[in-house]
Amino acid sequence: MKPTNRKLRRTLLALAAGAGAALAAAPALSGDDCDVPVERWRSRDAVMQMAAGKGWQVQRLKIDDGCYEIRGRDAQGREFKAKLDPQTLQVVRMKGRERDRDRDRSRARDDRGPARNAQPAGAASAAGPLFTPGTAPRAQID
Amino acid sequence: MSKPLMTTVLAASALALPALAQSRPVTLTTTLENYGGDGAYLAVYLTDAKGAYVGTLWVAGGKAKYYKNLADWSRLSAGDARRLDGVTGASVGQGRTLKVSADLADALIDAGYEIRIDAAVEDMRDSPGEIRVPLTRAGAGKPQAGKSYVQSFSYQIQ
Repeated sequence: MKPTNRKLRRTLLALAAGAGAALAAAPALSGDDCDVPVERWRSRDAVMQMAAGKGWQVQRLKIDDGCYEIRGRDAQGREFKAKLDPQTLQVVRMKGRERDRDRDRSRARDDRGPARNAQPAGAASAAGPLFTPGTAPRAQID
Repeated sequence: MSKPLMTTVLAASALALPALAQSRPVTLTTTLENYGGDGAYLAVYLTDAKGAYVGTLWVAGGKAKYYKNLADWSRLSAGDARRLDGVTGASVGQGRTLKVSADLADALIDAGYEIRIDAAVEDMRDSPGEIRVPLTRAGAGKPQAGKSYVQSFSYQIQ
Protein backbone atom coordinates (compact mmCIF):
# COMPACT_ATOMS: atom_id res chain seq x y z
CA MET A 1 0.00 0.00 0.00
CA LYS A 2 2.65 2.48 0.95
CA PRO A 3 4.52 2.50 -2.38
CA THR A 4 1.17 2.81 -4.18
CA ASN A 5 0.18 5.77 -2.00
CA ARG A 6 3.49 7.43 -2.68
CA LYS A 7 3.00 6.88 -6.39
CA LEU A 8 -0.52 8.27 -6.24
CA ARG A 9 0.66 11.30 -4.31
CA ARG A 10 3.43 11.91 -6.84
CA THR A 11 0.95 11.64 -9.71
CA LEU A 12 -1.44 14.10 -8.04
CA LEU A 13 1.38 16.53 -7.38
CA ALA A 14 2.48 16.31 -10.99
CA LEU A 15 -1.08 16.93 -12.17
CA ALA A 16 -1.47 19.90 -9.83
CA ALA A 17 1.83 21.36 -10.99
CA GLY A 18 0.78 20.88 -14.61
CA ALA A 19 -2.54 22.59 -14.01
CA GLY A 20 -0.78 25.46 -12.25
CA ALA A 21 1.66 25.88 -15.11
CA ALA A 22 -1.18 25.85 -17.63
CA LEU A 23 -3.02 28.53 -15.69
CA ALA A 24 0.09 30.65 -15.43
CA ALA A 25 0.72 30.32 -19.15
CA ALA A 26 -2.85 31.19 -20.16
CA PRO A 27 -3.20 34.68 -21.57
CA ALA A 28 -4.83 37.09 -19.16
CA LEU A 29 -8.40 37.74 -20.25
CA SER A 30 -10.36 40.63 -18.91
CA GLY A 31 -13.89 39.99 -17.66
CA ASP A 32 -15.63 40.69 -20.94
CA ASP A 33 -13.33 38.80 -23.30
CA CYS A 34 -14.32 35.50 -24.92
CA ASP A 35 -12.10 32.47 -25.41
CA VAL A 36 -13.91 29.97 -27.60
CA PRO A 37 -12.12 27.70 -30.11
CA VAL A 38 -12.99 28.69 -33.65
CA GLU A 39 -14.62 25.35 -34.45
CA ARG A 40 -17.27 26.03 -31.83
CA TRP A 41 -18.25 29.44 -33.15
CA ARG A 42 -21.80 29.97 -34.38
CA SER A 43 -22.15 31.60 -37.79
CA ARG A 44 -22.81 35.28 -38.41
CA ASP A 45 -26.21 34.28 -39.79
CA ALA A 46 -27.01 32.66 -36.45
CA VAL A 47 -26.06 35.91 -34.72
CA MET A 48 -28.30 37.92 -37.05
CA GLN A 49 -31.17 35.52 -36.43
CA MET A 50 -30.73 35.78 -32.70
CA ALA A 51 -30.66 39.57 -32.96
CA ALA A 52 -33.79 39.64 -35.10
CA GLY A 53 -35.51 37.42 -32.54
CA LYS A 54 -34.80 40.05 -29.89
CA GLY A 55 -36.06 42.85 -32.12
CA TRP A 56 -32.60 44.36 -32.56
CA GLN A 57 -31.68 46.36 -35.61
CA VAL A 58 -28.05 45.50 -36.29
CA GLN A 59 -25.95 48.35 -37.64
CA ARG A 60 -22.64 46.56 -37.39
CA LEU A 61 -21.50 43.08 -36.51
CA LYS A 62 -17.83 42.47 -35.88
CA ILE A 63 -15.46 40.39 -33.79
CA ASP A 64 -13.75 42.04 -30.83
CA ASP A 65 -11.76 40.51 -27.98
CA GLY A 66 -12.76 37.05 -29.16
CA CYS A 67 -16.48 37.82 -28.97
CA TYR A 68 -19.07 38.87 -31.51
CA GLU A 69 -19.88 42.52 -31.05
CA ILE A 70 -23.11 44.07 -32.26
CA ARG A 71 -23.83 47.74 -32.54
CA GLY A 72 -27.38 48.67 -33.26
CA ARG A 73 -30.74 49.64 -31.79
CA ASP A 74 -32.81 47.56 -29.45
CA ALA A 75 -36.55 46.94 -29.73
CA GLN A 76 -37.18 50.28 -28.03
CA GLY A 77 -35.00 52.14 -30.53
CA ARG A 78 -32.15 52.77 -28.07
CA GLU A 79 -28.61 52.52 -29.38
CA PHE A 80 -26.52 49.84 -27.77
CA LYS A 81 -23.34 47.85 -28.07
CA ALA A 82 -23.35 44.20 -27.04
CA LYS A 83 -20.68 41.55 -26.82
CA LEU A 84 -21.88 37.99 -27.40
CA ASP A 85 -20.28 34.69 -26.54
CA PRO A 86 -19.57 33.22 -29.99
CA GLN A 87 -20.61 29.73 -28.92
CA THR A 88 -23.73 30.34 -26.89
CA LEU A 89 -24.63 33.77 -28.31
CA GLN A 90 -25.39 34.88 -24.78
CA VAL A 91 -24.76 38.53 -24.00
CA VAL A 92 -21.42 38.92 -22.22
CA ARG A 93 -21.71 42.65 -21.90
CA MET A 94 -24.15 45.30 -23.01
CA LYS A 95 -24.10 49.01 -22.79
CA GLY A 96 -25.87 52.08 -24.15
CA ARG A 97 -23.98 54.28 -26.55
CA GLU A 98 -25.31 57.78 -26.03
CA ARG A 99 -21.80 59.19 -25.65
CA ASP A 100 -20.38 57.87 -28.90
CA ARG A 101 -21.00 61.04 -30.83
CA ASP A 102 -18.49 62.78 -28.55
CA ARG A 103 -15.88 60.14 -29.14
CA ASP A 104 -16.40 60.11 -32.89
CA ARG A 105 -15.93 63.87 -32.94
CA SER A 106 -12.80 63.55 -30.84
CA ARG A 107 -11.42 60.86 -33.14
CA ALA A 108 -12.14 62.97 -36.21
CA ARG A 109 -10.17 65.77 -34.61
CA ASP A 110 -7.27 63.45 -33.81
CA ASP A 111 -7.19 62.11 -37.36
CA ARG A 112 -6.68 65.55 -38.91
CA GLY A 113 -3.29 66.04 -40.53
CA PRO A 114 0.15 65.25 -39.17
CA ALA A 115 0.83 65.49 -35.46
CA ARG A 116 1.93 68.82 -34.07
CA ASN A 117 4.77 67.44 -32.01
CA ALA A 118 5.47 64.29 -33.98
CA GLN A 119 8.91 62.93 -33.24
CA PRO A 120 11.13 61.15 -35.70
CA ALA A 121 11.67 57.48 -34.99
CA GLY A 122 14.40 56.96 -32.43
CA ALA A 123 13.84 60.32 -30.74
CA ALA A 124 13.16 58.47 -27.49
CA SER A 125 16.70 57.26 -27.16
CA ALA A 126 17.38 60.20 -24.82
CA ALA A 127 15.20 58.48 -22.21
CA GLY A 128 17.92 56.05 -21.13
CA PRO A 129 20.25 58.23 -19.08
CA LEU A 130 17.41 60.22 -17.50
CA PHE A 131 15.90 57.32 -15.63
CA THR A 132 18.02 55.65 -13.01
CA PRO A 133 19.60 52.58 -14.56
CA GLY A 134 18.38 49.32 -13.12
CA THR A 135 15.22 50.76 -11.57
CA ALA A 136 11.75 50.45 -12.98
CA PRO A 137 8.71 52.55 -12.15
CA ARG A 138 6.21 50.88 -9.84
CA ALA A 139 2.48 51.48 -9.56
CA GLN A 140 -0.46 50.61 -7.39
CA ILE A 141 -4.15 51.35 -7.58
CA ASP A 142 -5.98 52.24 -4.37
CA MET B 1 39.71 39.58 -0.85
CA SER B 2 41.49 38.65 -4.04
CA LYS B 3 42.74 41.46 -6.21
CA PRO B 4 40.55 40.75 -9.28
CA LEU B 5 37.43 40.51 -7.06
CA MET B 6 38.26 43.78 -5.30
CA THR B 7 38.76 45.49 -8.65
CA THR B 8 35.35 44.25 -9.79
CA VAL B 9 33.63 45.47 -6.60
CA LEU B 10 35.26 48.90 -6.85
CA ALA B 11 34.31 49.25 -10.51
CA ALA B 12 30.71 48.27 -9.77
CA SER B 13 30.50 50.78 -6.91
CA ALA B 14 31.91 53.54 -9.08
CA LEU B 15 29.16 52.91 -11.63
CA ALA B 16 26.31 52.51 -9.17
CA LEU B 17 26.96 55.31 -6.68
CA PRO B 18 26.72 58.30 -9.05
CA ALA B 19 23.41 56.93 -10.34
CA LEU B 20 22.09 56.74 -6.78
CA ALA B 21 23.34 60.23 -5.93
CA GLN B 22 21.78 61.78 -9.02
CA SER B 23 18.33 60.27 -8.82
CA ARG B 24 15.34 61.04 -6.67
CA PRO B 25 12.24 59.02 -5.86
CA VAL B 26 9.16 60.73 -7.26
CA THR B 27 5.61 59.60 -6.51
CA LEU B 28 2.80 60.64 -8.82
CA THR B 29 -0.73 60.35 -7.45
CA THR B 30 -3.70 60.47 -9.80
CA THR B 31 -7.27 60.24 -8.51
CA LEU B 32 -10.05 59.85 -11.03
CA GLU B 33 -13.47 61.43 -11.09
CA ASN B 34 -16.62 59.34 -10.92
CA TYR B 35 -17.21 59.86 -14.62
CA GLY B 36 -19.70 57.03 -15.06
CA GLY B 37 -17.77 54.76 -17.40
CA ASP B 38 -15.37 51.85 -17.66
CA GLY B 39 -11.85 51.79 -16.29
CA ALA B 40 -9.63 54.51 -17.71
CA TYR B 41 -6.52 53.93 -19.78
CA LEU B 42 -3.83 56.35 -18.66
CA ALA B 43 -0.38 57.05 -20.07
CA VAL B 44 1.95 58.87 -17.69
CA TYR B 45 5.03 60.23 -19.47
CA LEU B 46 7.59 62.98 -19.59
CA THR B 47 8.38 65.53 -22.25
CA ASP B 48 11.27 67.99 -22.37
CA ALA B 49 11.19 71.76 -22.63
CA LYS B 50 10.59 71.53 -26.37
CA GLY B 51 7.70 69.13 -25.98
CA ALA B 52 9.73 66.16 -27.18
CA TYR B 53 9.05 62.77 -25.63
CA VAL B 54 11.51 61.69 -22.95
CA GLY B 55 10.10 58.49 -21.49
CA THR B 56 7.08 56.60 -20.24
CA LEU B 57 6.53 56.24 -16.51
CA TRP B 58 3.40 54.12 -16.59
CA VAL B 59 0.62 52.94 -18.86
CA ALA B 60 -2.55 51.81 -17.11
CA GLY B 61 -4.65 49.46 -19.23
CA GLY B 62 -3.69 46.16 -20.77
CA LYS B 63 -5.19 46.06 -24.26
CA ALA B 64 -2.83 47.42 -26.90
CA LYS B 65 -5.68 48.13 -29.29
CA TYR B 66 -6.72 51.06 -27.09
CA TYR B 67 -3.29 52.66 -26.87
CA LYS B 68 -3.94 54.69 -29.99
CA ASN B 69 -6.66 56.45 -28.00
CA LEU B 70 -3.93 57.80 -25.74
CA ALA B 71 -3.29 59.95 -28.75
CA ASP B 72 -0.46 62.30 -27.77
CA TRP B 73 1.52 59.63 -25.95
CA SER B 74 0.98 57.15 -28.77
CA ARG B 75 2.22 59.65 -31.34
CA LEU B 76 5.12 61.08 -29.37
CA SER B 77 6.42 57.74 -28.14
CA ALA B 78 6.08 55.94 -31.47
CA GLY B 79 9.84 55.85 -31.93
CA ASP B 80 10.45 54.23 -28.54
CA ALA B 81 10.37 50.49 -29.10
CA ARG B 82 10.68 49.91 -25.35
CA ARG B 83 8.02 52.37 -24.23
CA LEU B 84 5.95 49.61 -22.64
CA ASP B 85 8.75 47.57 -21.10
CA GLY B 86 7.89 46.93 -17.47
CA VAL B 87 5.55 49.88 -17.14
CA THR B 88 2.08 48.52 -17.81
CA GLY B 89 -0.69 47.59 -15.42
CA ALA B 90 -4.44 47.44 -15.11
CA SER B 91 -6.76 50.23 -16.14
CA VAL B 92 -7.91 52.53 -13.34
CA GLY B 93 -11.57 52.48 -12.30
CA GLN B 94 -13.52 55.64 -11.73
CA GLY B 95 -12.94 57.15 -8.31
CA ARG B 96 -9.77 55.09 -7.84
CA THR B 97 -6.24 56.37 -7.28
CA LEU B 98 -3.16 55.38 -9.26
CA LYS B 99 0.16 55.88 -7.51
CA VAL B 100 3.27 55.64 -9.66
CA SER B 101 6.73 55.70 -8.10
CA ALA B 102 9.88 56.19 -10.13
CA ASP B 103 13.49 57.12 -9.51
CA LEU B 104 14.02 60.11 -11.73
CA ALA B 105 17.32 61.73 -12.52
CA ASP B 106 17.92 65.04 -10.75
CA ALA B 107 18.59 66.55 -14.15
CA LEU B 108 14.87 66.27 -14.93
CA ILE B 109 13.75 68.49 -12.08
CA ASP B 110 13.46 72.28 -12.59
CA ALA B 111 14.79 71.86 -16.11
CA GLY B 112 11.69 72.47 -18.22
CA TYR B 113 10.49 68.88 -18.21
CA GLU B 114 6.77 68.24 -18.06
CA ILE B 115 4.70 65.40 -16.66
CA ARG B 116 1.86 64.54 -18.99
CA ILE B 117 -1.08 62.17 -18.69
CA ASP B 118 -3.28 61.10 -21.57
CA ALA B 119 -6.57 59.46 -20.66
CA ALA B 120 -9.10 57.39 -22.58
CA VAL B 121 -12.27 55.58 -21.56
CA GLU B 122 -14.23 53.22 -23.75
CA ASP B 123 -17.19 54.92 -25.43
CA MET B 124 -16.23 58.27 -23.96
CA ARG B 125 -14.23 61.19 -25.27
CA ASP B 126 -10.46 60.71 -25.46
CA SER B 127 -8.45 63.16 -23.43
CA PRO B 128 -4.89 63.63 -24.66
CA GLY B 129 -3.10 66.12 -22.45
CA GLU B 130 -5.49 65.41 -19.58
CA ILE B 131 -2.71 66.59 -17.28
CA ARG B 132 0.32 68.72 -18.18
CA VAL B 133 2.40 69.99 -15.28
CA PRO B 134 6.02 71.14 -15.08
CA LEU B 135 8.32 68.88 -13.05
CA THR B 136 9.60 71.36 -10.49
CA ARG B 137 10.32 71.36 -6.78
CA ALA B 138 7.93 74.29 -6.37
CA GLY B 139 5.12 72.37 -8.06
CA ALA B 140 5.50 69.28 -5.89
CA GLY B 141 2.57 68.60 -3.58
CA LYS B 142 0.24 70.99 -5.38
CA PRO B 143 -2.87 69.18 -6.58
CA GLN B 144 -4.21 69.93 -10.02
CA ALA B 145 -7.43 68.86 -11.72
CA GLY B 146 -7.49 67.32 -15.18
CA LYS B 147 -9.66 68.25 -18.14
CA SER B 148 -12.11 65.35 -18.10
CA TYR B 149 -11.33 62.34 -15.95
CA VAL B 150 -8.71 63.28 -13.38
CA GLN B 151 -10.15 64.77 -10.25
CA SER B 152 -6.74 65.44 -8.75
CA PHE B 153 -3.11 64.95 -9.74
CA SER B 154 -0.06 65.72 -7.64
CA TYR B 155 3.51 64.55 -7.32
CA GLN B 156 5.93 64.32 -4.46
CA ILE B 157 9.71 64.61 -4.78
CA GLN B 158 11.65 63.00 -1.98
